[in-house]
Amino acid sequence: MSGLEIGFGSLGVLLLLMLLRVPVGIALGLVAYGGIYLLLGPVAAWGILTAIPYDFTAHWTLSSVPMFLLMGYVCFHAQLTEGLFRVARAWLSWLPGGLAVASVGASAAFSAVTGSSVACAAAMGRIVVPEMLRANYDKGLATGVVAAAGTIGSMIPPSIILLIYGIFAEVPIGKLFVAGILPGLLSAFMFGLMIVIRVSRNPELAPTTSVRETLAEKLAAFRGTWPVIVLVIGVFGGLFGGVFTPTEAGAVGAGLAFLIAFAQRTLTRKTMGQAVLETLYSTSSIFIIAIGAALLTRLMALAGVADYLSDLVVQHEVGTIGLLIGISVVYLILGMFLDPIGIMLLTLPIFLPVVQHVGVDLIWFGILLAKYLEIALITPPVGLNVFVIKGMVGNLVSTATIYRGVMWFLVADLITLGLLIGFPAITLTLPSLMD
Amino acid sequence: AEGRFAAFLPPANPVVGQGAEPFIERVAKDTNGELTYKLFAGGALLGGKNMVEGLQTGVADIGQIVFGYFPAEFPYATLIADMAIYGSNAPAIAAAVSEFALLNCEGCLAEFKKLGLVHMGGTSTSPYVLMSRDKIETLDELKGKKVRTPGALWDRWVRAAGGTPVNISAGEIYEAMSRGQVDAVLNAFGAMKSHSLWDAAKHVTNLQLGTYRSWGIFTVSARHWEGLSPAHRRVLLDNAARGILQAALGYIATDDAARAEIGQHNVSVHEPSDGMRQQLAEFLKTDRPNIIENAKTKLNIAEPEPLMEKFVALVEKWEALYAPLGKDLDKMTELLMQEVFSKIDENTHGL
Amino acid sequence: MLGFFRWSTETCLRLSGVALLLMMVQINLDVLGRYLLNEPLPGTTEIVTAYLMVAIVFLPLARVEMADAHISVDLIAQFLPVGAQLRLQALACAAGAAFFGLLTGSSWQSAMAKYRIGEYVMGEFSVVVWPSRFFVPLGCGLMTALLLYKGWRLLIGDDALVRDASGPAEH
Ligand code: NA
Ligand code: NA
Repeated sequence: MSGLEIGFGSLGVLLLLMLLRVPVGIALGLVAYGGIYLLLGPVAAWGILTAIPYDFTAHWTLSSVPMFLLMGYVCFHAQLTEGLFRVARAWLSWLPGGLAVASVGASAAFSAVTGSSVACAAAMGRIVVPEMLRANYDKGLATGVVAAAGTIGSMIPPSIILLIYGIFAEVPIGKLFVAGILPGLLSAFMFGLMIVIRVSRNPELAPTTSVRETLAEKLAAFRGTWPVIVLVIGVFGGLFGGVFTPTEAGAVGAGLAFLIAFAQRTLTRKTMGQAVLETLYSTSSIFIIAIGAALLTRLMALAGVADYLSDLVVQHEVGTIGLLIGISVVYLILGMFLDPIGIMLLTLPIFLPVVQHVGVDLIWFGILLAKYLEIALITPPVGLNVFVIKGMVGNLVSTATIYRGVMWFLVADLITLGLLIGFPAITLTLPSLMD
Repeated sequence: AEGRFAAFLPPANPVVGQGAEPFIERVAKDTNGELTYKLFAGGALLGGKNMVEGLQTGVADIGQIVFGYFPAEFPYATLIADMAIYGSNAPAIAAAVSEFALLNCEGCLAEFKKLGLVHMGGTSTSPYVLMSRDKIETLDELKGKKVRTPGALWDRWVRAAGGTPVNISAGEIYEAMSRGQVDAVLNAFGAMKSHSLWDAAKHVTNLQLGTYRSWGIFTVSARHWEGLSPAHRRVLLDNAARGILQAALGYIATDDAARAEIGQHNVSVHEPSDGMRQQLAEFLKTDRPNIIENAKTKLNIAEPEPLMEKFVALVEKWEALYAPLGKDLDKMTELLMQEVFSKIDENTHGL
Repeated sequence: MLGFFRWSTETCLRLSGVALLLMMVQINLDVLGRYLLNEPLPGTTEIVTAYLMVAIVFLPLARVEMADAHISVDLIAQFLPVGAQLRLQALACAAGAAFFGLLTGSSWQSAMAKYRIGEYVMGEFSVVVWPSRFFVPLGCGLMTALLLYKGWRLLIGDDALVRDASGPAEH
């Protein structure tokens, strides 16, 4: 068998295993091992299993994932964020799907303190999903919105993906970060618009709370929000004041949440135990999938699948827009199965020289890349952000339902992507002001 | 079949762009296409911390190893890492570390052999300098500053100079610098451009703090090496000699490119005060017993002193040899072949 | 047997719970020390990455399996009759046992190699890290044993372990 046959064949086997309800991480890891065994033999396949899982896990920047998860779970169990949603309800209930729109806004704001989309979804998920389910929102909408909105975490600065791209492509990181702001806000706006349109046409998705509150009541709602305000000021202030890094922000947020819960007297042994337990469940189940995806990425690299797809695009003389659309398709395909950083490392050595050759601005391309990788986090069958939410809702909502809910946001993302490709000014205006 | 070359750094880095890439091209040409490698850069196959396991098991055939990540595995290379402040001429140090490990240090070759790896020489970055948010010309200005360094030796220097060494991962340097979690970083000048540090670090202190030199940028898996014909091994060795120098010159070129642009980024370069220079010279003297102590107790090297002296002598030898050559890669390679790589027997090396 | 798995998975979970809280405390102390006293907590990065991350990810694996909380994509399985679903679950157990069995073996071998060589990392202070390597075969080994046991029980028609499972969202 040729490398390509093994590579594409492995993807087929992967789909089959997942349909047979083999857990995602196990299916990914087993297929990767089998494929590398066929390609390079038993010793190297064994070697990949030795080299990747420990190295992937023992990673400093990834420590923000369990820490932001812990923060979210503590906030939820100690009821720190209930006040926030009372405000959202009071002020946004006139909007169709107000709570879902509020979730998008909260995720966009939260993106400014985390560099990782998975961490963003992790922090927000436990806070907002139960509130929407309690308000009888459609399960797919309630879960899908957080999985999708979490992806803004790697567009609005700081962003791990943009950092790695900046060093890889030697593009000024400061400009990249600034370039991500408008596309990040545009993504959030499109998500919000999608919610409003969908709910207007089908109000059953998000029943409006029939409360009509006076302005005084609306203002009074803010009183219950002090725990969140303290938390947000602490995390934002510390990050921008140079006290801690985006990676450390998760641990600081979790620590602050514990302190606030303690001060509010909502911190009991039981809530604390529950928060820790759920954090461990989520962390362990998500990392096993991420490790599996990292293993599969090595198989795709060795089998030459990424090279093959990229060559298909590069060989045809299609002009800049055609090239970018072709590249988008490649990222959509790879993004179905692999982890975002793995995809970036696989494809950049091929695509960078090509886009540079046709004169594509590398800052613009970096933002498009971030968008492709954000989309990868929510496309089936392997969408890490979907699995983050799945790990939180347990048996309440099926993975298929979350994917169904995410589909609409995927459409919104594709429109956003089209706008970013069609109107480079959205990306390039802000950074050009820096010169 | 096509071999696999694993690099954990991105293609823009000199050890990949000027090291691995031209090496692969030349090897293919010199063997008439019989020996070809596919490059997996930027950690697409193996990262810095699992490179040794990956090479041992044949996941990759040739790889780039930072020995500092594996002090228990590479005690002799770690000793060299501790001697990073001697000398500043990148190609000369690349030649010196290679001659030292390949011809003058049985322990070095033994540690590779034990791990199932074959050494083909090391390289060196350009000199490390201090890049900071505020001007640092004197020891007083360095006092209390939080400094991110690339290794234990420099941490000791920061401590001795009155600063605080802080641990920030390589990927977070930019963020930490721009928001002020660190006040200064130690790196080669080129990092101003490649890591966009000049957005935040507006001051550079021209204190030459040595170079990064304890890595193998063409380390071969013994599984691969054993299957090669002696003629092919010869081709790899010859091209490694050129490659380590080309990478070292690449670092200098990267520095030059960054220096040419600092004006546009309002970066000012400062000369360190005499006090600072004296402190560095003093540190080299007082740190020597630490290195020896560490070598004996942690690294289990019974007699480090003769090795250390040999290494310093080799640095001086190559700095003298290369000083008149400017940046002439061909002449440098010729000398390195003559003095070192021609003395390696492709029929026995690493076997 | 079930009693052994309940006890051992719970013990591992508690250990990783301690690791999780330690991670939070240690990073906070490091941040505070660096900011207020200009003196970070030595070894934070090394301990968090090598020990705490690895413990948090690998030690809870089997407990998560007990709770049936490993993530799978339920597209067609849910429409099958109960008997077929159980047999499908036995298949998933076999696949899982194969994968985690391989991981247990390879990580054990690697842990032993790192133990023999005395793996440590160098910062301003060096930190011995080889013990953390053993978290991987410990967590994966327990997971393998549990999956083998569960698969066998399912094949002989006993779904006690499946009924025993209670995901976090149901608490
Ligand atoms: Na962000
Ligand atoms: Na996906």
